[in-house]
Amino acid sequence: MLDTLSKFNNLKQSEELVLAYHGIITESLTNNLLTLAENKLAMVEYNSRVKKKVFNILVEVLQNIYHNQYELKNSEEPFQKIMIMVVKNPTAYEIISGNYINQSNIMQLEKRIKEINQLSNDELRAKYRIKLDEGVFSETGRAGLGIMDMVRKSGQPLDYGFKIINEDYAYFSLQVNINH
Amino acid sequence: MDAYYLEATPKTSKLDFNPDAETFLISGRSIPENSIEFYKPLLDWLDKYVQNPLESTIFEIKLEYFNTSSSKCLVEIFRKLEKIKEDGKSITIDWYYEEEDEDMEESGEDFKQIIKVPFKMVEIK
Repeated sequence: MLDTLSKFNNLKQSEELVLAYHGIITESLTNNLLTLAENKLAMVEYNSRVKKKVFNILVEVLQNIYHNQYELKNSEEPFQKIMIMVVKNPTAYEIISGNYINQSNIMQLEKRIKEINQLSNDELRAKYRIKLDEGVFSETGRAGLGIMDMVRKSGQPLDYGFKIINEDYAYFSLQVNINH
Repeated sequence: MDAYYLEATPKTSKLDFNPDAETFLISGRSIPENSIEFYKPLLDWLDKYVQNPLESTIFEIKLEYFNTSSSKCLVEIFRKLEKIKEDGKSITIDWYYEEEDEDMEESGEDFKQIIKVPFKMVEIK
């Protein structure tokens, strides 16, 4: 099972760590992080196609968390903290995130990731189009396409993990790998 | 009819809709957290435009990248244009993508598949 925090402890001295952030997330912090990520990527990646792909997936991962955290905006501060890392290892970029979620959301989220992870490319594309065709928004303006988009653009299943924190909260770790 | 124009920002696209200049363009990047808030004024503007459109409308999309919530807004925008075709006037969507940008090419194909408006894929070399 993926565990973002222990992964960070292993990586923090490593040259492979392109970017790491641990703290609360707001709209302006999301913007700043994306600007920072884009500038760092411009320094370490010369292939514009790969650079674009990594940035695009990072946007989706961060915005997914940003919208999830809305549910936790009245919770104690430690639970509002997120973790995001971009790692460049010899074969792939890893976008690794960690954030608290309400325990009640685990089952649905896990079911969704499992279902999307096991689809073939064609099945995923078909499912994506059906969802896109629906064209309607949830009240929070979410599209319900984020996880599918991450799998589709990266071309690989998502790695993930849940850690129970207490009776209300769990920690959700997610990793997207993008070969370069 | 008045034009609708918005300058691009690091997170939002340029919107240039000017019937007098026959310019209909979305370009740049589109990654706002709340896409519906960003695109709502354009959707309202399009509601009026489709009541009395030009004989021929060419709508160009030249996006670098966009998030998934923007893609839902794009569907809403394209849907509004279907009325132009139903009323017997000409409408074409030109979807620009860079050579080798498979993600942008695939996205264009997704829209082409679900939108009932002539949709042209234009590769930029």
